[in-house]
Amino acid sequence: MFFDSDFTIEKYHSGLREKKYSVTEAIGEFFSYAKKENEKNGAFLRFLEDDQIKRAKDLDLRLEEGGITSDLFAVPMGIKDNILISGGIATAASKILENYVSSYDATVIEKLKSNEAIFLGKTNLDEFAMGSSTENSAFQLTRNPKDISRVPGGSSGGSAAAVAANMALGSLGSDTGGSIRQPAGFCGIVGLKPTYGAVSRYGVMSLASSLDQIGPFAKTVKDVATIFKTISGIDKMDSTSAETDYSTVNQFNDVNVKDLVIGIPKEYFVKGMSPEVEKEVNDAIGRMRRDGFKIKEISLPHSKYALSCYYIILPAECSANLARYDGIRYSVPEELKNEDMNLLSTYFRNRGSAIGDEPRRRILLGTFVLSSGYYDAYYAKAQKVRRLILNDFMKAFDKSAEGVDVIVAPVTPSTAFKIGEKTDDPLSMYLSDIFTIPVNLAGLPGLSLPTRKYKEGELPVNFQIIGKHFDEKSILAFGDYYEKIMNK
Amino acid sequence: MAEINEKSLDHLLALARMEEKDPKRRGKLLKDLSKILDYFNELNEIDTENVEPMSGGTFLTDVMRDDSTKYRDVHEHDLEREESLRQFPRKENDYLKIPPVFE
Repeated sequence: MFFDSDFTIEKYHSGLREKKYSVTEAIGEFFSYAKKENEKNGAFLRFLEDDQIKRAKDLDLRLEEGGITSDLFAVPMGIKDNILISGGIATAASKILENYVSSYDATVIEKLKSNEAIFLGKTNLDEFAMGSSTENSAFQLTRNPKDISRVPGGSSGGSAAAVAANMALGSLGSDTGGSIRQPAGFCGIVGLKPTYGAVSRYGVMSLASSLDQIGPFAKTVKDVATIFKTISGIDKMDSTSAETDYSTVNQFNDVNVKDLVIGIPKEYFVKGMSPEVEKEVNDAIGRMRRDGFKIKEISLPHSKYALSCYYIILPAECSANLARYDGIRYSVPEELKNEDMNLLSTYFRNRGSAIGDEPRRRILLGTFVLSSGYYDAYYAKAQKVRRLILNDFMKAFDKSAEGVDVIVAPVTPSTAFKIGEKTDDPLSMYLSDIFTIPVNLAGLPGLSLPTRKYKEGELPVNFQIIGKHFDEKSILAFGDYYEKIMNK
Repeated sequence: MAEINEKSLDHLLALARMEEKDPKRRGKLLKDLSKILDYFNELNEIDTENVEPMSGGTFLTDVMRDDSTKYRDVHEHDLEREESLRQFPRKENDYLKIPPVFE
């Protein structure tokens, strides 16, 4: 029962209300199931059992006294290991942080705690969230629960696999260039990248500060919306967080879904897409058309430049953000505990040996594009191209010029690829994010969801619904509606 | 636009405070970085004359707080001294211990 793909938060809560199981029983079962499955798929880096079983017992007392009082009451979740939970290890899947213990809660964790969610454990990721397959983790491989010879996507691959394998009812990831939407697609579940500023970034290890957003994974749009409602909101610890009202975002009744005008960007359907992705996404659009939606072709002419633009801006920001990881602060890897060296040599040795290949590549790339003589040609140019990409979206959404309300597009050019297939060629790995990156550059929200219900043995295909800034209510309401027509 | 060679790789490694002496790994780094930089050349196709750079992800503007102390407010989130000490890997008594800066 607990471990079916249609077992949602709502069903879980009904069972608690009807006293079919206690919180302690349910959470105990989730732990044993997740630990067993983890041997097959490696979604979790570590579990938080002792601590959380104690919380489950408290929640049973609360349940006796006042019933279910919060949206995520006792909901078992996985948390990406670049998000801090006070007192627990947080590694970002990097050797250089292998024994770092967080000293505070991320704002999203504080919010989940006050909503009484349960944290099953910390999930695997590409080192410092850099990658599209979770193969860049310094610690372990995560396998796609839909086909264990394939990657789960990345960088939030562990969080996606945990939900897809029914080990957790929801999870948190972070999305800088597609790291929630792409693994949601590879694993066939729902994932939301919120508008930049909708969710506080306080307590997530920064990759590229102008692009990063924390967001949820779950089995349904409804559950994703409920987690998003809980974690969003302005936060004085993150000056880029915005004043918003998402209090009814999981009700879906503020939006008249059938009035939404859907835009299809022609640039997303031209080259490099695999035939099965093209077919499934076109089938999804066909379903919307048959259901009576108004669909318009639109143009986002600078889309093809987004990848170059992103791989200049992201390394530039990450080369600065990762400068703090020196193996002196936070955590000292075991084999680097040599005290006989001076400061400079310690930096060179620690950063040279305990930071993995992909972060190293991006740090050097960022150092290059920011260095004297190249700044204007690369970094300043990319910032201007970023503006043009934003302007494309603003024009497409401009109501005074017959613009659309939401945009529907593919999430990835292919289905989940084989483990090891792209590890030797970073550029081909980068290209797997070609459809998700423009959304981060423009700071927009994007919801990734399956085009239909896939049978066992089939590789899932997701599409994304891109909305206006802070208009999560439209994309979520539309996504929820689509789930009802997706098997027609 | 530009190329990376052995000499400029050393310069970048020095700026980024990372050591890499292994010839095979250096060769792979040079190859990957050059390929990625070549890819960026497509940006030259775009006319960005008079385009205002987009320098962040937000449309929020700077706000100034009142010029007064917010002692209690800050301390709500301020780490306890012991907590800060605890999360630093090497220390002696109550001091943080780092490698010598000067020989």
